[in-house]
Amino acid sequence: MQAEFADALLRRQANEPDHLKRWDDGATAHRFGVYRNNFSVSLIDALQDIFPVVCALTGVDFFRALAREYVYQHPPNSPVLVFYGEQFADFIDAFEPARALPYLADVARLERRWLNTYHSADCQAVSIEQLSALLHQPQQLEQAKLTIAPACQWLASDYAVGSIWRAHQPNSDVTLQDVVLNRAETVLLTRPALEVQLHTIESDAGIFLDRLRQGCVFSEAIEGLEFNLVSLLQILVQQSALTGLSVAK
Amino acid sequence: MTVDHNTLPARAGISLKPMHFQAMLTHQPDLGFVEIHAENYMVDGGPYHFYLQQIYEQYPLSIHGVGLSIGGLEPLDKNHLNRLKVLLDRYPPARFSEHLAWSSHQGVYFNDLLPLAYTDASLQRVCEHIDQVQQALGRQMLLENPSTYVESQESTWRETDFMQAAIERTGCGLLLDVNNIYVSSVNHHQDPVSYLQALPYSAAGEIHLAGFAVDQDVDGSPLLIDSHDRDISDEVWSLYDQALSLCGPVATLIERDGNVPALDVLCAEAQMAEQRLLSIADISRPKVASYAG
Repeated sequence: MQAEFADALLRRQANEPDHLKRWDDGATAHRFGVYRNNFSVSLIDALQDIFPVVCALTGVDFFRALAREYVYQHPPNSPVLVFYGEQFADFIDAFEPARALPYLADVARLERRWLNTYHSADCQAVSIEQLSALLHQPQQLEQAKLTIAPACQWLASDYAVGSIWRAHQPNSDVTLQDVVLNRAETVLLTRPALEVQLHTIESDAGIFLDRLRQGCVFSEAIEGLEFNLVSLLQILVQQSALTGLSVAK
Repeated sequence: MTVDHNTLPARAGISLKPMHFQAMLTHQPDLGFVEIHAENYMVDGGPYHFYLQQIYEQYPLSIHGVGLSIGGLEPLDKNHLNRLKVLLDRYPPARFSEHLAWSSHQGVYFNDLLPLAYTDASLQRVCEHIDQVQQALGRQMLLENPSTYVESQESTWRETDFMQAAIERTGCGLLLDVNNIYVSSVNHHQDPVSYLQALPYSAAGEIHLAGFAVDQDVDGSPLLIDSHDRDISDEVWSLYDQALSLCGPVATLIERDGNVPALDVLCAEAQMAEQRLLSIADISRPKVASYAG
């Protein structure tokens, strides 16, 4: 019964599986429909919790239709649902009816990363003293590896994703009407304590962070980039986003 | 005051919800225990662990799994079992429980507790899975009786006999879900009291109470949905009284997953269960004084 049951749940148009039984041997379609409904609705609800700004941008009806498509094409592969929706942004990119909102997929990327940041590991951060000691030894700095906290994530977008996201937060001083939607933004997420913080950074600063996370030493990471390094390092240290400084021997 | 994490007291507890984290610490309501869904805490760090750690220091904990798929055709997901082990090592609970149901098949997780056919083969499989869980976690688990909307034509065992056999063969305990008994009994036109009496209720290590929604089957008869999103019904309270008269006082959870109300509303419902627990404890306590008289 189980294989057929699973198969019928995954195919919206399928009949209910054989071998189901009602107490009076009556029709079971309605009852199987309860399971069908639990499956799709509970997962659409989960996506709506994970992507509230995407939902606000599209409206609830559109969002739930979009999420329903996603659930059937990408059902979860793990019972840990806080990590569901990893491919939702890519799915939106390819979802024809969402083309009118070209920034939607990046907002989904940002929200997915926001939740990853929220739940990521707590780490011991590098102190400002440790960092400034290194900054005073240029030769060591060149060869230093800077480790970024797992909670620290960033996103480079062709759209104003950070401003769009901020405009949807309670008590925000940004309104969506004021946002120039197609102005590129690079957004940095940190979690210094319990709350996720969102910062807008220069696009080259995002590339620098990409390279650091790939394991480049400082001199390799900064090569050819133009951005305010002091201001980025300030954010990283204040936000407990630097967890290691090691100098290659 | 140190909390005894080895036993779940025969008192009432509530589902711990993130929206109540701060209120729990601020108001410290007088509760027997709290219960969490294991899967919600399978994250590396952040606020969930920050709050759970502090709440764990103040209340006994029951950990309730919803994703092991014990009734599944396939082997248990070893990664998931490992994640459970990590969580239970971090917060050793007074009880761990899972369901007689399946929720995953061929790599897809359905986020629901799905019904299985009760056969010799499925009993063998369920017992192997329970053995594997108890071995991996190094503790006894409780197996929860399911709520279902359909039965299987392939079943050759009654659900209650199947539960009893699984419990006898594996040494696991029973999580007696009173709401599930009521929901299934109405849906399958059985007598809930007979169902309760046919369960191995003396193995009950915890009781669950919850609210159900009422849908309508095609013939107009009620179809009850195990929704956990409203108050406990009078019928379930009355079945709970019957359950207590059979098992004596057993730790009881007010299970709430949807439309979660303010903390004090949940605590008031727990208080209603606690009054029943106290009165049954009174009755079952030996009356030494009457011998002296």
